[in-house]
Amino acid sequence: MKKAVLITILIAIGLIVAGGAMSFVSLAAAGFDIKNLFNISVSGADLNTVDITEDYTDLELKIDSDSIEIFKSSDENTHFTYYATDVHDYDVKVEENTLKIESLDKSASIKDIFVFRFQSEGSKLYLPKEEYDNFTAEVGSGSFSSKEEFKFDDVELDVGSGSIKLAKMTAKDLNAKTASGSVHADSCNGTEMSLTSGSGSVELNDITSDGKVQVKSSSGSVKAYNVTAKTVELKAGSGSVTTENVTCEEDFQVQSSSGSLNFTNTVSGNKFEGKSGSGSIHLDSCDGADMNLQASSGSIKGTVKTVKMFNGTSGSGSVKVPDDDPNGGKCVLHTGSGSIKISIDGMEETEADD
Amino acid sequence: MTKAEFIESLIGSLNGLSEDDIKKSKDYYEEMIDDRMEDGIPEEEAVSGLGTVDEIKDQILEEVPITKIVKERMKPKRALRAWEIVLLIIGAPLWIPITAALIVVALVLYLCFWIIILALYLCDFAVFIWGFGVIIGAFVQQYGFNAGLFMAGCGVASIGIAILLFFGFTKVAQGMIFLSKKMGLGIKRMFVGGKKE
Repeated sequence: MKKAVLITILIAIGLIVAGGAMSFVSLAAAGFDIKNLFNISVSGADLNTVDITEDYTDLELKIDSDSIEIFKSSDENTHFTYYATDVHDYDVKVEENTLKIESLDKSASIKDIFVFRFQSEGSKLYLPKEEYDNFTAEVGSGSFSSKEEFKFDDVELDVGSGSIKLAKMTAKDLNAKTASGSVHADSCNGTEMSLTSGSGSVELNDITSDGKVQVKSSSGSVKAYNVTAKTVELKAGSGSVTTENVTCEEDFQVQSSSGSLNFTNTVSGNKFEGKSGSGSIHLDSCDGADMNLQASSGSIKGTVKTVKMFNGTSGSGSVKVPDDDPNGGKCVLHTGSGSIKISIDGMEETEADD
Repeated sequence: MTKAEFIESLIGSLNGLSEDDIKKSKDYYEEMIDDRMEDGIPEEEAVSGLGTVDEIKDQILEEVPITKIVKERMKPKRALRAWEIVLLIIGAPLWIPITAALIVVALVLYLCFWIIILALYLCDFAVFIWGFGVIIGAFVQQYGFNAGLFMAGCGVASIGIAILLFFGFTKVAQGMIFLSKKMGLGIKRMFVGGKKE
């Protein structure tokens, strides 16, 4: 090995050792907790509380990078608690009958390049009333959570990167979306509901809607349990869709590009549509006046509640459906490559092939 | 092995190269054997001292571009007969796409090879630059001395790692180039060959 190369390698090793030692000493001084080193952490930040006595009907939140939770206030006033740091603070005010909470980025210099942001315990908003008109929240990076009973006219939640958890919320128009994170809605009521996740799962539990419930997930699963609505539309890009105890007055439409569809005790008054790109479809005690289930490549199996006029076709598989009965609705089943086997609840399977 | 046997064997093994290239190689090695014999080395010893025919063939092939070899191999040695032309035309929908696909695959593999090497050096450069960036950051950050020391330490260590990685990646690149030469030689051997020693 050439002398120059050897010297360079020795210098490199020296730099690694020296750098490692410097980092070790500084970490040791901070108790081996990197958050302590960059005093933007919870322990290093100041817990601030803003008390608001004014009344308002609307809420508007614009948060850059923080998680936020909504609670009921224990008194007649609004309280907002958050961790203020050297570079981040909030502007809280009531203006035009609207409570406005906005992130303030106090930094504006070259130093900002080296600003480290760690997830704090998040901010908490305590609301004195149960009912408000409009609620809009834009969160850049952080989760949004509301688990206590509130009633709004319109709710518009837009999260860049973080999860959304809603519970006991009533809204005429509920629109919640996150680009990257899961969405959970539990015991919520409303007229129109739209829940969207770019890359996360969406789960609904005990949902009642007078109108349309619309759920979209680009790359996550969609689950809906105990949902009652006029119409339900569930779309998953590359995840499965599971429903249980879902009742639609009118249409029930489900679509997945590359995931299976599993329906249990799911009933629609009119259309019952399920389309799967490359996954199987399974039905358990489901029903609809006009059923249409299609899989590009996967089997379609299960049971329906009532008799129908069946039309089953498969590109390369067996087809076994009950005898046609003109007294019921219709059921069209098609798969590109897979078997079809459908029977009616409480009735013996027929051997009639379509 | 005598000089005549050696030259005959070498010419046979270069079957597939152009006549010019074969003649050049033949003249070169004939002259080399003659020079050794003039120095008083016995004929068989002068021949064996050059190495085996396969070794010499590999040395010659390394010098000749693959395109030249393929071109020479594909060149018709005689005028095509009518039925051969008809067969070529009829089979064109099959052999043209297959040939085009093979060429594209070869080009893509060749590109991938250099992209991997480029990516390795870019990663190394990124670590190096990041190291300097963090050291600068250590002086302008606002979290105090300990944070600055931590950042400076990370930066210094990164520069050291980048230097070591440079040597490591250079070895990897050398290995890949050696491997590609061997693969190229293997491909050339598929087109060139004949009698062996």
